[in-house]
Amino acid sequence: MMSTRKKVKFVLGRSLHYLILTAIALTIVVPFAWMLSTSLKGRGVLQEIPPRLIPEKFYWSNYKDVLLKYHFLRYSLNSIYVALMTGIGQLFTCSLAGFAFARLKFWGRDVFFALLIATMMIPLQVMIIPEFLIMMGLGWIDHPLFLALIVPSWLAGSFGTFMLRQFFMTVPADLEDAGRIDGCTIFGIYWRIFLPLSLPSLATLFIFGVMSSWNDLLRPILYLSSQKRMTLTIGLAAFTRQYDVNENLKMAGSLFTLLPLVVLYGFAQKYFVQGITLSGLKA
Amino acid sequence: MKRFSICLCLLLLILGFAFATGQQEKVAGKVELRYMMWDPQIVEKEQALAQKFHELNPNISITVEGIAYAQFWEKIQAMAAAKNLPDVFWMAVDRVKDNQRMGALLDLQPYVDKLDKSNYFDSVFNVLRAPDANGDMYAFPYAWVVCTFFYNMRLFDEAGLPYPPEKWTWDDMRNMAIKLTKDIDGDGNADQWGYWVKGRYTHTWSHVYNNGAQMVSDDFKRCLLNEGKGKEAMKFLADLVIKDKVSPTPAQTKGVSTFFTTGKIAMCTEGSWRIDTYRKSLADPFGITYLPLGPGSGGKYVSFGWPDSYAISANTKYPDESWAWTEYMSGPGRPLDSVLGGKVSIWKKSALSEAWAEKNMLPKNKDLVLKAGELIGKNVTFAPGWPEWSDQVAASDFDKILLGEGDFNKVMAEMAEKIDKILSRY
Amino acid sequence: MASVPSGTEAVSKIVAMKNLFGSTRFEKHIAPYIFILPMLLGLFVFRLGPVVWSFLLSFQKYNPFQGGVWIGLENYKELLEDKDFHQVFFNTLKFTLMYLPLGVISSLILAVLVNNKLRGIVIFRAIYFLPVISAVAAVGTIWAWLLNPLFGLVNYLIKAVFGIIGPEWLGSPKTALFTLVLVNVWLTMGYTMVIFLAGLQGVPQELLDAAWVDGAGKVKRFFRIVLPLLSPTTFFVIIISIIRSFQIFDLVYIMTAPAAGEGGAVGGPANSTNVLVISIFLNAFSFNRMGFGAAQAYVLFLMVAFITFIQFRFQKRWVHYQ
Repeated sequence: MMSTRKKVKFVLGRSLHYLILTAIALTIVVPFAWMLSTSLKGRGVLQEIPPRLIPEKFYWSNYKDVLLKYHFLRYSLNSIYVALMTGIGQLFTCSLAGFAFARLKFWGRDVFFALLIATMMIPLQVMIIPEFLIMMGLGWIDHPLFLALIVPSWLAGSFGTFMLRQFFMTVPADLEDAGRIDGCTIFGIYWRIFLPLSLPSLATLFIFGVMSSWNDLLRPILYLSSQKRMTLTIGLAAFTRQYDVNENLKMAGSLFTLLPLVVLYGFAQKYFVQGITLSGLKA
Repeated sequence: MKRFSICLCLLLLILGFAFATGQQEKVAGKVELRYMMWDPQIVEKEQALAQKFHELNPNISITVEGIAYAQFWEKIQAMAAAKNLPDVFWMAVDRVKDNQRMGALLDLQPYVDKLDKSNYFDSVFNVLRAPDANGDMYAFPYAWVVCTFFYNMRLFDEAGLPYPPEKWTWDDMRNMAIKLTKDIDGDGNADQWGYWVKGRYTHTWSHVYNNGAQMVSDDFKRCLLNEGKGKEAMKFLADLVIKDKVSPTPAQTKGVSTFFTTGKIAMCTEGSWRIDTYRKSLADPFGITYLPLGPGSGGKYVSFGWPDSYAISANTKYPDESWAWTEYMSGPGRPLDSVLGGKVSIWKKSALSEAWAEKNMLPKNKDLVLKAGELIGKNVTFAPGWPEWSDQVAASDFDKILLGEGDFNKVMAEMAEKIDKILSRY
Repeated sequence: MASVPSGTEAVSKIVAMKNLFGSTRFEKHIAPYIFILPMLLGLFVFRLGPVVWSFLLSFQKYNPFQGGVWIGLENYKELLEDKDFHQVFFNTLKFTLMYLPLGVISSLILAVLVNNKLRGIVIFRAIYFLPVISAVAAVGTIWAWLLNPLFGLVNYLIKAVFGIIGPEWLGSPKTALFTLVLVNVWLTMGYTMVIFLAGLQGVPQELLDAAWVDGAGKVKRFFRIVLPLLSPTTFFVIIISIIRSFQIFDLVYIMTAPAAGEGGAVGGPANSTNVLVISIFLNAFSFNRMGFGAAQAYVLFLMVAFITFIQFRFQKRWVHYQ
């Protein structure tokens, strides 16, 4: 039974906690409320002085236009396909490589890892032309399976490899030894012990992979030319024209683009909460 | 292990399939043109025009691709590197010379020479010549614009001032601007300004030209902004912001690209395409007139105007067909709705038509734009390296002066030096 | 593993398997390469190839249509002397130095704040993650609008609450860069929060419980147990943050580029937010100076590689692996 003093302290502490959480959340909610408000306004109303949060007239038609007239519905199918393929493929290649870099000793390990990190430091703008030339050479421009967009991230996921390597390095050596004693092959140790433990990191990596593909603009612009294959980011960019910007549609488009990722994040959330089970150690 | 190997096999299968289907097939006997433009929002309209063209020329079909403006040049550069430029593409007037020097554009002069010039506003043709004003045309216009002087009628009425006339001087403008700058709520800061100056080519260069000067020498070797009439023009503009304080600073107008629409500015110099913007977003009635003349102008008016144009790839397999498409899109077949507002068709008949005159809309004297178009002088040239020296260096440095972050003389000297260095590369 | 065979059979089976696949020879020498094979393939084709190409480009005067002309170290010499480039370089450095502490600490705090089972915590986590998954183009525009010196909500609130005129945010060369840092922190804190969260989840509850039994309070446990165990994650976050903030582009472009058709300067006002990748972008795609842009990219690379190298060297001092 807690004394009243302790109870008060507890309630105060809790309330403070919620207060801080809410204050921070507000800094995020306000801009998004503004985005929502702008997305429902009519043309040219963004420049209104003073700005008005609740629109005078609600233009729900903006959403209909964005989805149908501006093809966002079709684009979202393309974006979903590319993002999912990117996210899933990365999980295998990055965890395999991350495990090797973290737990195995082999010639060139540090060199390759350094190269991996080093290539992350060159800005995309400088590498995009040679990458484009490669894609042209392979015939992957405007490919029906969107290979130019998917394959590079499968095969060259430096970020994911780095992240998983860090994670795998935190796994106690005892677990690995236990696996060896049980007669596991090195692949077995990876597949049965390390991989399951890394579920939170894998979930994170999946989200990041999906996200970076979802919001990628430069590669889809360069590697796609048929309108039916275009992605959401291309659709969004189209609202910024040479002499004017369609702010309202742009906001509507962005919110729509946001939606699937929010849903995805909601689902993946529970994997973030999964902790390490050290039951193997206990036995 | 089994699941893993299955996944691996699947992956290899997909990759194999990918390599097999990667190659495109060519349709023999027909001409297929690739046409790229930077307004994806009107792709469907352009496709309709392409369809019409196809009906007139059944052996030519055109695929239209729209890339958002900000990414357009990235894609062009990538395609150029792969020696795979589109056959016809939109060209920006400030990049014609750079692209021509690179060898990317087809010389259009032979085709242009065969045209009946009386059908077109050929005063604008010179702007597209490369490598200099005596060269051949490397792009062909379909529409053009001029820098126009706008004024807010409501603010003039409230101040009891007559509207700006067609022929007037810098002093006239300055005096009006001073009378139109007010502190309405009495907090010590101006809430309404007479004019608007920013380090932006429509605001600055139009006045340089109307002081009998130019930004760069005819041989494109020297920057002329730090001497004589050029410097006089820049000083006039800078003083409006710093000394006379009749204009908001760039910091105050940050993020509002069409500040005139807020109704807080009485006058400004903008491209004529803003007619469309102001009709839609400015609550007050507005009018247009010619820019005021500076002391160095010698009474002669020079319009700062330029065309929107098409270019053809130097490597195209179908130059004649590409030209046919270009000629079609700059001719009477082009619907007027693509040039309503302040843009003008290059095809004279379209521009002089009743539909373009839009007599029932503001501004009442829209034909002033047409008259100004005739006055685009031969000395209006977009020297090479424009994106670097005009958009980046000059705009940044002039803003620096206007923000009070640097002394006028010192910064202008630095600006001229930097621009000289850039020009020396060409 | 399938059903375990009995006795000696089992032992001989294990030995046999080890000799076939699990044999130390295979494991030590071949298996690792199979693990990294897909990644190596991608690394060489899609990363190293372009890196070498663009590195060679930095020694050329390049024109996409006609190819490159070798000019040796000219580009690099020009960079050393160009005052504008010095400003670009220092802008980038300043940006990273301002962003790093703010970004890492704020997201760590956030991760700690949400690493519990409070009611509704899932909603908070989702909210904090929102900026990360939104299009930078959209949120950049909204923030630019909110931070508008004359009409934006932020200055309006500042005047209403504190009675003073708010700063000029993106309008003044003095405050523009820091404004971008703040918006970038807002944009990315959910991202690094999630990474820290995964790391925090990996701290074994048993250790924390044991420490509590020994009388350690929350704060002590955090600094003595959680932080050290979190250090590999922290290390990762720092490296990634440095690399990404040196490469910042989209946000700066969206918030400082002149509006459509304006023809003004990017990275304004007065070049105060002109960071390296903006400069590279302009040189490569607007000024037709791809070789020069590539040289700038390699200066950027040297800088980041150097800092990262130092980090990796020093990690032994503060990063605890198992």
